[in-house]
Amino acid sequence: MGAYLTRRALGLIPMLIAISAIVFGILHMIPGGPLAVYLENPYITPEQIERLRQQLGLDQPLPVQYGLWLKAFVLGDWGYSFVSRRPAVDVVLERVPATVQLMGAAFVLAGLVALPLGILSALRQYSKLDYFATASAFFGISMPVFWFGLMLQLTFAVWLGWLPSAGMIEIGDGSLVDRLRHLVLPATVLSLLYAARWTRYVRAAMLEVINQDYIRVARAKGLYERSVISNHALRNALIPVITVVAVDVAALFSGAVVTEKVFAWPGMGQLFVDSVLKVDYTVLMGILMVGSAAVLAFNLVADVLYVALDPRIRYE
Amino acid sequence: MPTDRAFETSLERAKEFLGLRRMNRRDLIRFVGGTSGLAVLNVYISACTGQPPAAAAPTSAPPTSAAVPPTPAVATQATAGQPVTGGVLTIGYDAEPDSLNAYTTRLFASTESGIHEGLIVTNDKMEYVPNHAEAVPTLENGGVQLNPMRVTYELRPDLKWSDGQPLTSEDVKFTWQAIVNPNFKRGGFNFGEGYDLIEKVDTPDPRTAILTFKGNYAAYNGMFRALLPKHVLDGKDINTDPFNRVPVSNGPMRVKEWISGQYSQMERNPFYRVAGRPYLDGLTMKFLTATNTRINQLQTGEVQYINQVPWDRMEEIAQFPGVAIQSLVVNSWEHLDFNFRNPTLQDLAVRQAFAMGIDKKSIAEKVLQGKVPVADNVVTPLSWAHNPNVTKWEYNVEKARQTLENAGWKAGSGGVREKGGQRLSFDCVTYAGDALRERVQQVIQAQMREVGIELRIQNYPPNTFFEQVNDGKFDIKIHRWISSAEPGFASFFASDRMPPRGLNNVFWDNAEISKVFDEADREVDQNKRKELLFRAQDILARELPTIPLFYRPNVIATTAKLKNVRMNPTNDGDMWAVADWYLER
Repeated sequence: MGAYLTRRALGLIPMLIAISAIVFGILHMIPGGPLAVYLENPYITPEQIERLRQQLGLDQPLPVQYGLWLKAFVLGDWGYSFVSRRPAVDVVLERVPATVQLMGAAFVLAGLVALPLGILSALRQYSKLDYFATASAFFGISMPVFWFGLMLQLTFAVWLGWLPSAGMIEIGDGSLVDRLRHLVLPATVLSLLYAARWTRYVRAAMLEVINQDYIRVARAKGLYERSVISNHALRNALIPVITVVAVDVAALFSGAVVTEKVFAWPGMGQLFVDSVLKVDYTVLMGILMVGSAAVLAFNLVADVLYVALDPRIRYE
Repeated sequence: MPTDRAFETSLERAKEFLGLRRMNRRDLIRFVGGTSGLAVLNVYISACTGQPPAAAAPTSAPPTSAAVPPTPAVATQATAGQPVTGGVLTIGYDAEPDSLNAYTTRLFASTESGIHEGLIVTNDKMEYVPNHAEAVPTLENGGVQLNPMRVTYELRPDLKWSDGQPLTSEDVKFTWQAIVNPNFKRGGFNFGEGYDLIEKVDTPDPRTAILTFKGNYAAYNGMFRALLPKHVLDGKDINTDPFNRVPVSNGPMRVKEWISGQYSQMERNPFYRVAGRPYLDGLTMKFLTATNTRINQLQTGEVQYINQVPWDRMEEIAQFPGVAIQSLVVNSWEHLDFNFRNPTLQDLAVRQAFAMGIDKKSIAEKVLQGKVPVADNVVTPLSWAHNPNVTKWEYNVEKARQTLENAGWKAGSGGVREKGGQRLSFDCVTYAGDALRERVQQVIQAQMREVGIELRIQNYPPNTFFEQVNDGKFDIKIHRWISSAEPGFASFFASDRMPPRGLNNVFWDNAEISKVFDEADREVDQNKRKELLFRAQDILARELPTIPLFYRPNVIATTAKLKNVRMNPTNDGDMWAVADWYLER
């Protein structure tokens, strides 16, 4: 197992390099480029734009630009933001804590709802609870996040005045209670979508498993129903669920654009959109590399979890 | 329990809502009708009496008499109260700055204007007033001398940076040296080409800076809107220095802290040049990019000032209890342009048909809800260079049709006129995503159909738009230009400024106007320069390479307790006079 993990982890490196090349190419296909903002300005002469292009190395051929970027990136130098001129590594990594806080809270919340609701829903198929869970799931999946977010903001902040409407802390406060109060609304909005998706997956997976022969055998040999469900049904049902959840959870570092915007949350999603609009190559590359690494890492975690859940799966 | 609380709260809200509704609406009407009208009127008066605007500049109070708050243009009865010192104002701002160094920022909206002061500044009436300098240099007051052109700035006595160090003419010289340093990556809106035209800066004493130019340069007053402290930045890499986030500055406020993605906090600069100012203890600027979030936070009182209020929400916001709305027509105009590379559009009759076929008034009233003044000229009425007597093309469909008929454009298939197999059918482009402008575009499309001209709408995202346009890939474009107080419209229409050498992206080659612009750029005497610019505007209105549509207002909403806010029509920013703002208790 240890050797397997090392091999897999090492395998991620060429994968990340390949991803970086593709992403780099795609980013440079964005029309306009980071200097397009100057074209609108009557006071900037073409000579000045050309000089900037040279200073920023944008006049070099694309493969050369990529080579220079990759070399520096590996050495820990992510370059400078084209927009704020700050080191891209600072610009990107300073967003990580807020992003993980919001996404993490949303995932925990979603998991706490989805797992029991999905299981019960499957066990009592076509019951009132099942219909309720199904209807809620469709509500969650089809609800436009910006609308729902604004509604919660209006209800709980503007009308009732119970919670702050946006931001991460009250300026000058920043205590745990203060942080949690600010987290409630955005985490609720964000968790709704995941809770809805995951409930459906858990339900479907459970339904498939509980009609299997081995479940009937487990019951026939006189096990308690509780034990049948948790030891035999759930463990098997969780395998497909983990595949889905691992992909979602990889977004832990990528943030959620709309929720962050509505609730003025200083996460990665907003930074990403701003950087796309301003075509800030270095920051975009940083964000995308962090995001790609997270996807690969969580896939690896999922593979490890399979082993823990299903003794039949062995990695050599 | 919760229901009781909810009921009480909503009852309270309902009461407030009903009680204050009428008053706020009146405020709103006074603003929309009053403010912009007043500002426009002032400029018309000064244009009629032929007063050189520079002469109006020294009227700004010297530092000693500045203890009396200046009467703002937007006078409300409540400002009669005495200013109070103290209080922190929280602002919900629509964008996070990229840098707080005025020379590296690429953003138009200048959050940095409350932090930095330059030698002179543009005020709310778009006149130059001295800030750190004693006076605005002109030919009349001897501040400008010719052959070679020299501009002398006399600094006010005892100026200090926010760290307590003296501010001297050496800092002016250093600012120029820093900007023209070939390694310096210049930002956006303080980018004026003027700095490259300066040959040297002499500093005979700590209060005098003399700029010697390589040739005559008319727009010299557009420069030095902020200063860089030599004692902090000398020998450093200004592109990446931490100064850009927490600068040592010379304005009423100085930066305390800037947390990315969340807020920046500013505090009173104890070394500010005017004693007793600013009134506010500090400013907190929250970055709230979503418009609805800004409005909600204003409503809950989490912020007390929001910028970029959309026009279609103005009336609703004016009804919030304790909220006041302010609007100012800024130095920006929407326009429709023709591509002269298209031979059909070189026909003046076709362009005249557009000028007479577009009903700007009804668009302004119906689509833009009467909140936007109609434009007849590319220079806004705020500017001293605005020519009020240019040819105005009245809306007249019949005359538009007749003009086309006389030029040989006869009705063809589908109601589209044609001549010799050439149909009057054009691609009309603008930015995708600006809903209001896209609606205006659709109305224009419908109005031109009446005249017999077909427009095919084809829009691009903002960062692609200018690439397409500068490549000449369009027939007709609709967008807006924003200008500083300097009437810089030569960039858009002079023959030698076609892309990639400038922004004449209508590709209009007119020898007459190019000659006028060439003279105007080098004419330092403002009266003579005004004559030349008036002539240029006459030519534009006659030849119609562009049809100005509307001028554009900016709207802010604040707590009614915030007094003395004077907005700014240029990129000098709404915080240009933040020293005078105060919060009533």
